[in-house]
Amino acid sequence: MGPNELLFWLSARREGSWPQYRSAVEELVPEDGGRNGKTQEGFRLYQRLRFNLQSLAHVEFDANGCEDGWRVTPPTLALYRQAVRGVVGVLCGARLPETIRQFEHAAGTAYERHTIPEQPDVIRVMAPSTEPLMALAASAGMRVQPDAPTAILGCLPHADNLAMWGETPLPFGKDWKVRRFEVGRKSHRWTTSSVKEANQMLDGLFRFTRFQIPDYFLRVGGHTFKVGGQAGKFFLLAKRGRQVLRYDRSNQCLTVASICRPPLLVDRALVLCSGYLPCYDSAKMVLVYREIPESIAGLAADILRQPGI
Amino acid sequence: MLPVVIFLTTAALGLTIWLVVAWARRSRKLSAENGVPPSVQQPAEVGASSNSKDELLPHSRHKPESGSSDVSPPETGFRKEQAVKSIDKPAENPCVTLQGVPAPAPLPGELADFRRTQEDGEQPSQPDSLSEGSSGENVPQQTAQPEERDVPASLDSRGLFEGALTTTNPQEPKAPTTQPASGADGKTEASSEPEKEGVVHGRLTYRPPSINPPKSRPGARVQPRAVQREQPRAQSLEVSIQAVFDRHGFCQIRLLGQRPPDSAQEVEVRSDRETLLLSACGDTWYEIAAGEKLATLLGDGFQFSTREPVDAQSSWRLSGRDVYVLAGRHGLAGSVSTTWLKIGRDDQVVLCKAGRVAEVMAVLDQAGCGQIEAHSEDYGAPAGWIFFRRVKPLRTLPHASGNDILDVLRPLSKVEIELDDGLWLYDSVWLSGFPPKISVSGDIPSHTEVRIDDRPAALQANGSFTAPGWDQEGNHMVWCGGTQAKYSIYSPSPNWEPWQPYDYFGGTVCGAIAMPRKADQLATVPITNRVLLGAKPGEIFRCGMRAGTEWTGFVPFKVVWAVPDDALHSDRSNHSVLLFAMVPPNLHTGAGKFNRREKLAVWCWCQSILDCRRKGLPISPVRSEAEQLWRDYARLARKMWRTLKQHGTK
Repeated sequence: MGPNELLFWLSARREGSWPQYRSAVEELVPEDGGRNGKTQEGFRLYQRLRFNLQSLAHVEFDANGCEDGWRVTPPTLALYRQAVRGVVGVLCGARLPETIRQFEHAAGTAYERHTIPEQPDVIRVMAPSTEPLMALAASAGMRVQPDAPTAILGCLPHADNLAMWGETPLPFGKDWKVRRFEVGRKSHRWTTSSVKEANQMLDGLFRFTRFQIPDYFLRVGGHTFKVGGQAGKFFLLAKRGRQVLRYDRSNQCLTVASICRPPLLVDRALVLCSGYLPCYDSAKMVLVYREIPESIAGLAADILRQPGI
Repeated sequence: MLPVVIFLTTAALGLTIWLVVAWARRSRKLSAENGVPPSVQQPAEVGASSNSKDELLPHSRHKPESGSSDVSPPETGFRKEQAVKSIDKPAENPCVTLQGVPAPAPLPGELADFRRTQEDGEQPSQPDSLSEGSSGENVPQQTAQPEERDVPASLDSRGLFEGALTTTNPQEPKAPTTQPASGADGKTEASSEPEKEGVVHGRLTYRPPSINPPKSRPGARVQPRAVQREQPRAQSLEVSIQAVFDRHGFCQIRLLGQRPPDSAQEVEVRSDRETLLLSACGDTWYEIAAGEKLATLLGDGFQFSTREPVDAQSSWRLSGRDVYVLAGRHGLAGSVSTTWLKIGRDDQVVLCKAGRVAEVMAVLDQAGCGQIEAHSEDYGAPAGWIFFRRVKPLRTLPHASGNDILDVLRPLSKVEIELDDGLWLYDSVWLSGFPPKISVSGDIPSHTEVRIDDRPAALQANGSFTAPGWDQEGNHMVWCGGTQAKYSIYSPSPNWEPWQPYDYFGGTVCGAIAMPRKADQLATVPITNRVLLGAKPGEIFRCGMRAGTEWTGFVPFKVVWAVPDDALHSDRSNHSVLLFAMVPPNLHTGAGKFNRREKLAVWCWCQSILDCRRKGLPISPVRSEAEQLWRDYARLARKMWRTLKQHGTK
């Protein structure tokens, strides 16, 4: 048993609660005890799998329609045209044993399947044009999303757009563990703070944690907005004019500081360019997205307000 | 004169102090006699008449019945039984003396227990005793319900009883004490008939008059114990022990409590001394955060209850044992406590106290488990406990006479069908493509075959049984030696519908599916031509600055031309006007009807085209149709520019 079986199980159940998911991970994916089940960031296996399943567009967690739980997305072939390989299709969403069997059978030789730890297998198909892949998806009963990374990025608001975040008062009380996101010249980090400091500061991003559940609050000119953690970071970085995205045109690699991983849907769009999750360079503490064309890197940078890539 | 005045003042002050001290001593003595703290006693004395009346009246109503020995038999009998069962020392409780049996005053401890029982939400041992604590204003209301008989008593919102009192015929003359007499009279009556009203007197001694308003208990309802027993009472829920191993063999042992349907994800429970938190572990289990107390809880057992009223309370109980047997269970990771060892299974774990290791190993050896290694705290066992992993007995053993805990290690010869592995979904349903492994444990009688769906099953190399069609979608049944097991293979529907988990102004995203809401067009242009023009005057978009050779982004119109940002100062040899689409200019411009912003956009659109014309930038691709189209655009731009100039751009 492993992440593939976990995705089968999730697809068969379609949706459920967070405890259900945790229980399924415990049962189906054996944990590596060598690191005491945690990464350097302190994430347990079920959290790491959750992030991977989200980024690879298999499952949505705690979103509209699956609040406090999860829901599997429809099986989809996400297409993207690459300069060298032609059109690449990445298999996303629900997976069932029978569907995969049919897909493999229909795909023939242009089919790739890579097994990677802590995520379901990456299944890709290649073709010189879009049409054969669309026909393939139709034969396997799947949906097709042409130009998936661009289409996703086209729906997203810019990082400095606060219209989508609701204004809210800061929490109060003694039970909160408060940390402030400190934007430095070259590195950025979370520093210890307090409720009092959060109230006093006119600008800044604060993380209020209680019962291991973090909430992020962005202070802008004395107003408080409850935001997503990563979105809040990029808002601050844009305001301070800090550049955290780097693009290597020769290798088509997009690099970002690991503490500034892009928000979920930008991350998903970048991942769907290749079908692979970003690599973590522990020496430089950066994430590296591969096979990112310049146009997608530019779009992502535009959304994240990182113009100088 | 002055010394005399000082002397008299001092004397008067001393006398006053002496009087106050004497009064205080007397009060303390009185309160000590009655078991009431002075602070409570004082107000009671002030309002003695009304309080005495309050306490007396409910019983006074019974006086005509209780005065003779045959007091309302069914109800009085019930009350007596109720009191005996609810209070630890019923013989000493004055409530039992309803039938006139004199009783001593209750011990403080009893009173405390009784109150605690009330606070915990249990029904009081005797309804009348609760009504004593209530304020007297409601007593006349109670007496005004004479027709009620054998009605279960209940508390109203002020903590008063309604209906439970068996009343006399309204035509019967009432005893003097039933009258809502003035305070002085009531007090006299109570004190003048101590022998007849022994129960009342007894209550007076341990029931201080309440100086607080009655507690509001909305919804509380006291019912006869017999009736209550028929209703579903507290839920007693299962507790299991789970052992999860990592790939290095380290074991994590934890306690699981059964989770009732629709219960909260986190529940706080308590026992006598401590409070624990239960967190949901799947839909049907809670994980009990035992921490360092795990070893003690396993050995001594425990019972935890929720903080709800007794009637709605859930409790988890584990009987302490020296030896536990754990085996795999669907829906839970690792091994979970089970009844006893079974033959053939290799996922079984034995957890025992360190002091019984030798006995356990002897029994396991008899069962044919071979050499198994004992793991202690180094491998995650609780302090003072040892576990054995992969315990696989090969033969049955007779159980010892008596109640030997080691019998759980002696496999029975009973035939049992096991459905393991596969991808279990729920109940007895497995996912298509991942069917269960069917195995049979116990002593299979000779000439007995295993049948699946009424077809003879074949034994495979891995010890499982299969038959034709055993892994196909649908319901299946396994049979062996009079024992049967059912399972289903389920193939989910391939129909999926996207929904809108992420809904933004620009569109919705569901997995890899994006549904843009805007009519924006994706455009990729060289970074040298950053100004994009559409067919309609005013359709102009300036791309942001970006490193690299090209710009990609969404433009709110169909791009026809891409021109340099500053055409007049660009190099004619390197820059050109790029054609993207052969779209003729939109002549229906509605000139003169622009607002200020539109005017500015039209002005910029015209200016960009005219600047390129003035500079003489070449058209790319070089085609006659493209040059003709460019001339048409330039003609329209000039016309619009003149029109705007006549009307003014601002």
